[in-house]
Amino acid sequence: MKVKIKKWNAVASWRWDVPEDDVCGICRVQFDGTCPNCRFPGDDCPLLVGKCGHSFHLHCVNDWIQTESSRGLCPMCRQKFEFVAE
Amino acid sequence: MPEKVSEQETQSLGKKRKQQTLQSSQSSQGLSQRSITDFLENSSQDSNLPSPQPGSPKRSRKNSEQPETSKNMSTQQHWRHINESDIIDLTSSPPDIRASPIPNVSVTATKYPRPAPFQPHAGAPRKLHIKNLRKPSKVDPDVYFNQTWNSLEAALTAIFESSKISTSLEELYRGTENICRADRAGELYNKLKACCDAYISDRLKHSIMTSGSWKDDVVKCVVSAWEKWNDQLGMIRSIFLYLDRSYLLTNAGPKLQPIEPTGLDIFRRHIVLAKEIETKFMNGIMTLFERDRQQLPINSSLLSSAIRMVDSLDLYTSNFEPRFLLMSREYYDRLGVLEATSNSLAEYLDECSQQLYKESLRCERYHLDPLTKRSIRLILEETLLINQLPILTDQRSIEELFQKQDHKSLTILYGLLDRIGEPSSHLRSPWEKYILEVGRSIIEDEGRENEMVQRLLELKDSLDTFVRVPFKGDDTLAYSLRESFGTFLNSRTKERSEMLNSKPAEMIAKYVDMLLKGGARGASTGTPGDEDTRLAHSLEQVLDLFRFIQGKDVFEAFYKRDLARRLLMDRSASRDAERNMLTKLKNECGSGFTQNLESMFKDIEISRDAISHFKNTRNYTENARDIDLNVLVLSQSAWPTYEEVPVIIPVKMAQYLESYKNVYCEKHSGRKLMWRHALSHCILRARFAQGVNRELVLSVLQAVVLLLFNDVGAGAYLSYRQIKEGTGLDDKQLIRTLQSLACAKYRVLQKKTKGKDILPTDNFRVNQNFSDPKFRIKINQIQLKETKEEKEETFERVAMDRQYETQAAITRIMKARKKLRHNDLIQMTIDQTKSRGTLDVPEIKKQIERLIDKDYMERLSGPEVWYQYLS
Ligand SMILES: [Zn+2]
Ligand SMILES: [Zn+2]
Ligand SMILES: [Zn+2]
Repeated sequence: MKVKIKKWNAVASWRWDVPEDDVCGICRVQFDGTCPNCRFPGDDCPLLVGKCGHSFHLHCVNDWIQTESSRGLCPMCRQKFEFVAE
Repeated sequence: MPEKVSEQETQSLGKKRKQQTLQSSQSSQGLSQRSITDFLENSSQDSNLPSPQPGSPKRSRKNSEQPETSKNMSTQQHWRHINESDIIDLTSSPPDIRASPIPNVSVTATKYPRPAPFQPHAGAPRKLHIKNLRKPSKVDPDVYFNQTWNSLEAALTAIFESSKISTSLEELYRGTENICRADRAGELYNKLKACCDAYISDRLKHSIMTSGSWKDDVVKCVVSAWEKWNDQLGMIRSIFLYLDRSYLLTNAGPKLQPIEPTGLDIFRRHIVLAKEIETKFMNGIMTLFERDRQQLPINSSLLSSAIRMVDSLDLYTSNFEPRFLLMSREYYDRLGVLEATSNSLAEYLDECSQQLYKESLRCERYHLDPLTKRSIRLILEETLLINQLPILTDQRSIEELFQKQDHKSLTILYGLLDRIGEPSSHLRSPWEKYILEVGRSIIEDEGRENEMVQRLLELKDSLDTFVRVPFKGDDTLAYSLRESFGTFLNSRTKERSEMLNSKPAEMIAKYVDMLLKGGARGASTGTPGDEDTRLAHSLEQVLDLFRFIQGKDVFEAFYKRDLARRLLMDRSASRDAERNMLTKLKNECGSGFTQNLESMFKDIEISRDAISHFKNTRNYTENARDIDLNVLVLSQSAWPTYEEVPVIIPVKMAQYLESYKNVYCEKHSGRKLMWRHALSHCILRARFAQGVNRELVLSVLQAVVLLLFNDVGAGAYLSYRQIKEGTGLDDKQLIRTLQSLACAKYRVLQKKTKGKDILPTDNFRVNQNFSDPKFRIKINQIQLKETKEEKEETFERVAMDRQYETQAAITRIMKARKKLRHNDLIQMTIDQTKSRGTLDVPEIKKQIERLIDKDYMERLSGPEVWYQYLS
């Protein structure tokens, strides 16, 4: 008997490329999940990795930066928050 | 004028009947009676008396009552005739005999009887003009009276003897008239009355009591005599009509009654109320009723006549009814006791409903008074229902009716109980007991676990039918149904006392899974419509069960697992049905639950887009295009957690997957992609000996094992160890996989040594003789049924979630209240977590302890236990 692959239905799972169990520094939710305002993880609620090395939900960090008190600083290390361009 | 006046007498129901009797008897009497009526009618053209008043159904109404108007009218008319000219109308009232003593036709007629009988229908009122014929011959009034009375008495005797009347009726009528005009009506009346009195009290009574059937049929004797007397009375009245109209009706009082009531009164006194007759007669009627009730043959027209007679004689309310009701009560008392104790409930119910129905018909048939009918109904209800209530509402017997699905008896039972009170007060308890018993027997039947939902659906349907049909939609019983259904579905089991019995929730989730996988065909056959409609209907039914479930969390956990499996294996029968179900669950459980499920659907859609994107890249065209690749990328957090299974994928396939991964990660930066080979499946094309080609649908784990055999010669063996090295599978996975290939239904591989178990010392080779008529063979081992471990794991997660949710609830409550008494906190926690699946009190206490340990709250010392929230 010889067998040959005809069709392959692969299953994969994705997670953000951040250390496991890491949580968003702003909303304290795991990156696998969404920010408090979103329903679906993934493209709908992406991550943003700062140049300082801290990652946040895009929506969370956006809200943060827009507050007066943030002065454009990373909420974790108080350095100027800049993100890695895609 | 005359006929109309007599109509005014008809004031009561009883009287109406009486007139019918009289009229019917006229026909039997024949020509002479009719002729007089016709003769009189011809003279009544000028009458315009008021129309009769509507009869009242009251039986006690007195015969002699006369409206005031009729009296005035007759007097008026009387005088109008007297003032007429010299034209003498024979058929109408002549002038006063003393004022103008004309030799009257009737007077001469007594002397010279006419040879020919009176001709009926002689046309218009004949008017005889008598001119110059007045020979005033003085007749002594006493002599005239006696002569006339003699003729009348002779006629009465003839009537009593049923022989021919020798004098013409016209003459007799005129004679009466003349006597009345001579102001001797009272005298005439007394003579007539005495004559009838004598006849009835002596001859008629005697003939009744000496007739042949007196001994065994008193009713018949009396009724026959009555009918005969009625006929005779009709005749008498015709003859004495003038007396009746001009004197008796106008002067009626307690001592003076018109002829008809006088006649009835005489009959009543001397016959029916005679002490030798009354009891026997009434008992005779009672016997007839009793025989009729016993379904023995009776002369029902005789009974009808007897009732009519009693009614006409105004004896219905006084003599008949009380006896009838008493006798009926005794009869049905006996019957109730006898039937209730000697029959099953179903038989007794049938008997009761029959008796009630028949008795009502009987009352109609014999024209009993509506009030009697009502009393009889009350008697039956009291004797058959109220007095037998313990038997009628015996809990065991009613439960038996439920068990036998005896809708007929239950319909009767409900109807009967409805007559005497609130049926639900008697039915509720056995109804609830039945529901709980049957329900529990279904959910505790471990042997038929797989049929549980189907059986619950059938039970629900049958219970709904009980409420709808026999119980006529009774609100209380419908409410009981829902209560009891919820109670047994959410009862606690012995083994898992810390949790609600989660079996129903689990099985309902499984059932939904079966439906959504396309198993609807078996589920609701007989439902009309296409497959989609049937599926929607079945889902709606099972959702009805789901609504009763308190521990929705168990359902949710299993539903999520099953949905994941359907999506991964592409086993959904209908995308619409899945969406539809999702919407329904959202309505039932809120969006918190469906969020993850929607996420799963979304993943499927995104993956579809991603694969078509991949197939447009160079990475795809560079790879083996003869392998049809599909990739499903899951967002980990939305899906159930699956075990990681390391496995070695053939190099070529691994490269293919790697190129997909590159394209994916390029598009989605910041993401890591991990293969879930244990969830993947594939189709292999296999060529067996003698050129047999088959397609095998396999899990990827099965496929990697089979692919190893491509590299060995035909019929050569691979050892367990070699396969393990080649696939990189651990023992647990490998044993399962080899079992599915060599020991299950389709044996693509052959084990060297026989036996069901896979041992590390086993050797395997391809089964050269494998054959199957089907081209595509599904050997897929990714179980459609979950394993025991998976199930345990699901339960454990549900239990953990519950603990977590309980803690969250306690914290929420404490945060809001700051300080709470122990019992209040427990109760509020139960209330808040009920819909998700309630924990036992000990379990809630345990969670309180944990929160105290974690310093979320503290216990305050004192005689009563209080808690204080710590922020
Ligand atoms: Zn966040
Ligand atoms: Zn978001
Ligand atoms: Zn930072």
